[in-house]
Amino acid sequence: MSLKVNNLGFCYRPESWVFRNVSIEVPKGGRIGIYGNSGCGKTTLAKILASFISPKEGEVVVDGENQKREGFQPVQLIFQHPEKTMNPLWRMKDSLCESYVPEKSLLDAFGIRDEWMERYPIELSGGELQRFSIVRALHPETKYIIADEMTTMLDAITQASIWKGLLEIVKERNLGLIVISHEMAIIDKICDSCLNLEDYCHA
Amino acid sequence: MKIDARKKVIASLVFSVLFIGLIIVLSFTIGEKGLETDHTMKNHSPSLLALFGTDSLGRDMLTRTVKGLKFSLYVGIVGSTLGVLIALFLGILAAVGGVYVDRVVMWFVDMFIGMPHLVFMILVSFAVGRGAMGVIVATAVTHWPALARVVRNEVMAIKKAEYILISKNTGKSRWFIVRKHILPAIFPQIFIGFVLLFPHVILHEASMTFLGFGLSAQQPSIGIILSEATKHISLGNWWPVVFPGLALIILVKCFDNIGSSLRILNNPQTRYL
Repeated sequence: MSLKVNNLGFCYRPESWVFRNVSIEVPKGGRIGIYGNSGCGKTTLAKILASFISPKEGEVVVDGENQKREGFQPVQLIFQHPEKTMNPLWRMKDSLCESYVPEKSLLDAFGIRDEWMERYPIELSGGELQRFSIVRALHPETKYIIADEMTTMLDAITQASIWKGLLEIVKERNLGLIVISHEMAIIDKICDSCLNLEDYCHA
Repeated sequence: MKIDARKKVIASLVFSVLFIGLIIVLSFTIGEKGLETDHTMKNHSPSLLALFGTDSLGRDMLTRTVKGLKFSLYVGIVGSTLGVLIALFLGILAAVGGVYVDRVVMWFVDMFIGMPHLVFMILVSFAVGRGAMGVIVATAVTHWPALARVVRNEVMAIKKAEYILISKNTGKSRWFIVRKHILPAIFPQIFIGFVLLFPHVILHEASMTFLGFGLSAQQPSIGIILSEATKHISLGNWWPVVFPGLALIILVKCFDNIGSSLRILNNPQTRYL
């Protein structure tokens, strides 16, 4: 049971590879960190893993099966900018409960208050929105979580509390976790192993 | 927009809605009596007895004008509603259906835009078998292409939004995404498009009946009134042309006003300025 990536390569223009020959294996319950300079393809890799875009080379194997295009994706991505991940016309409760209805304890773990539910995304701060997008990604069928610069725009205290909440649930449900970040401190603290994506760049 | 300008926009909106409402109310309350020929009342100029005067058969022009506008409004509603529905369907289909579907649909749109509009409508009304039905069908099936293109571009712009991609990756169907995410987002555009289609449809209805395609001569319609009246204008009877023509222009301008006012009020960049 693992999220496995074999010889993954991606390019936006033919033969101009962003990265190539990337192979990672994240076991269930494992934690891997990915870092690298701006523009080395971290977010692109995250999007491929979560099936937002298709790789040009190689394959993504989730729990022994090739990644499927339709239906619920067991690999869920938490984006860097939560304000873009909420429909601006929906109330927060509609965005949150779009795919499943989270339990009260899960909301409490991330400090989501009831009064936020009736608001629109524009009426909440970035940190508050990010809590919603994390809870939304923690669907009961989710097996792997990718946190793409999840807390980069937050202050240190909020960062710590959000990571604490997420790590508890990841541990409890035995989820695989991929942390993408600039900050080596976070990766060192959280992850079992790490990978520098720049090693795979063919600039 | 300054406060005064904002008041002006709202005032023109209210005036337009009131004028259209007045015509609708009049068209239902005015009796059919004015449509009967009355040879004692031929060619009267406008007076208190007949506000818009009477025509060469003694029919009351006010009644004819209002009844004609009622037909115009009816054709307008059917034509714009159908136009919007076709545009919505094809626009969304083109945007979410993939590259090849998009090309085929846009080819159709280009083809329809490229064809001379009036000639096409005349062909359609002949094919349907003339009569009121011919006019309604002809105007209904020819007014969607421009709006379809707008809808397609709007959908193209938001379909790559992250919240829509996330929705898809949590297993939501395309139909769910179209219904819950896309339609509410493009609703303002569609509504404004709907209102702005009205004047087009109404003017085309008038030009078709003016050219003699569609209704028989005794049925009230602005186009027929105008084409009849042009024969009498050389005798100095100006009122059968001026009043119905003016009424048509004001009606069309009212719909145009409503559409543009809504566009201004809906646009966040012009709403509060």
